[in-house]
Amino acid sequence: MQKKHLSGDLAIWFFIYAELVVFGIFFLSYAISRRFNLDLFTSSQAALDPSFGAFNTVLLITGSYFVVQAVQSIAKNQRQKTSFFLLATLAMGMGFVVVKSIEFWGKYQEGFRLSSNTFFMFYWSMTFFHYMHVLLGMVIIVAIWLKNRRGGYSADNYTGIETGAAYWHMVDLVWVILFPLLYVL
Amino acid sequence: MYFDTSTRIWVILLVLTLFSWQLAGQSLLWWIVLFTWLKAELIIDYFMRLKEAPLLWRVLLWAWLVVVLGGIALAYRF
Repeated sequence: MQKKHLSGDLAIWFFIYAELVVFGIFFLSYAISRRFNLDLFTSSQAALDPSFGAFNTVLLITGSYFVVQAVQSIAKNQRQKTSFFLLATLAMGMGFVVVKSIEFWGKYQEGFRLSSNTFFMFYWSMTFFHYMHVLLGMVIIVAIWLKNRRGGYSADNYTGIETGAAYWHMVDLVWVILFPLLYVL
Repeated sequence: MYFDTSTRIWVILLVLTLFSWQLAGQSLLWWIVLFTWLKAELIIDYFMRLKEAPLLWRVLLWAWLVVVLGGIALAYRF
């Protein structure tokens, strides 16, 4: 029987769990605030277009899939394929940032600000906080890609790629809850 | 044609996203929570590979998911 082990560096998992606690507090605070301001939240939520959220979910899930493929490729010592999948992950991240930026700009132009009401306070703070995590994830993917290009990873040594992948999946996991919370429910 | 596990998980995640999107504005709380839980579970087990990790790490994420999704469901339902 194969020994159970965590994928990637142990430190990233402490970081991931700490991040998830912060996002969890955000989500629960939003849900409780909505409970006491139902009409305001329902009317404000109607100003959001669920298509943006759904499309961004597809981009992040696909990015996660590509990063899984990158890990599987390096485990087989296929360095070029690994680089390709890391770039594909990066492209998905860029797609997310572009779509989210368009949505942010649209909401800003429509006059919805952080101070507009409680719903938009949560909308801007939660989505922007997540957006920053996507940007950080992209920086990590670029760093991994550069190291892989220089031959820094092999089938015997790819903890760095697993660590970056774990972070990227965390960003995906958070969005999978954020999407229905803000756009669907 | 053979598809590996990650490809099958990816397709399921896309289908569940499509279902969730179609439910927008329909007040079908439990279905949306169920789809979200399924998606999160698949990401945790197969993409984050916590299925291969010591049980404690997996249990901690399950606990997080139960508290977050359970809390949201309770706040929306009652």
